[in-house]
Amino acid sequence: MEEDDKIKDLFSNFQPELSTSDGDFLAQLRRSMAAVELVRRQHLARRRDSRKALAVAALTGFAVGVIFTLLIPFVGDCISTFSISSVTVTIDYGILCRFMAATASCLTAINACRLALGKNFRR
Amino acid sequence: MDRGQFISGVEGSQKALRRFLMALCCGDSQLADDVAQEALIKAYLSLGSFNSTEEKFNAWLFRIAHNTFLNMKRAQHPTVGYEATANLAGNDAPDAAFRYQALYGALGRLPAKERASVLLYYMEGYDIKEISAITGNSEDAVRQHLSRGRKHLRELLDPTDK
Repeated sequence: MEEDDKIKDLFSNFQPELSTSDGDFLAQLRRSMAAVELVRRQHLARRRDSRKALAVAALTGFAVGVIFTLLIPFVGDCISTFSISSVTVTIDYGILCRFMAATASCLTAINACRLALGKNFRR
Repeated sequence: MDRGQFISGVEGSQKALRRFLMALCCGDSQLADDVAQEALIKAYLSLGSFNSTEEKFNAWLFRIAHNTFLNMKRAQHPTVGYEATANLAGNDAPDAAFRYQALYGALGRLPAKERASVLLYYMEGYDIKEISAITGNSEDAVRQHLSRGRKHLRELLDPTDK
């Protein structure tokens, strides 16, 4: 117990001088908090914009995909009329058209996403 | 708890927190303030996780500050020993700067866990259960740290008293 009291006495008088005043310390803390808030807001805005761009890309890709799928019968006919008669390899134009539709949808979606992101970043 | 409540809470407890960190940093007031700033920003960012029914605001702040201090210690490469505290840059009042050199020197030689337990118990008046929550050690471990810390501190401050 005596040992305990000695240490209690030691710390009861412990009043070290701090390097900055309370006012300065709190002012610095407020500045840091404001900076953190700013970064957090920007981060949230960036995430929101990214989500929007992804939604735009998905919708555009879907729309282009639907349009191309509807056009497949016509596109297939067009391609088959241009086919070279001497080529003996059998080509499945349906698969070719679907592949083209998928590629076009993907490319359109990627570009739509890029455009949406670019527009957001400029803002 | 919103931003305003957080700031008013911090205004009430920042002095005790900085004093605790200054002792934990063995008198390096600049480092203590840096740790305090970092800890308070961390606390502000994780305000959502604070549950006022489970924990006191002060104890929560001390827990974050203690963890921040430990993380900082882990990241730091020790280049100087506790003897370096004798050469700490003084402030405008040299007498005040050197008043606690013996205590800082002794605290610097205590293991971090013992130091934190001793400071929280004797300086801030927390009980064993609260110290256990702040430091993340079991109550038995805290009791052990306190007992050893007390013994070491006594030996270091008064080598003749064994």
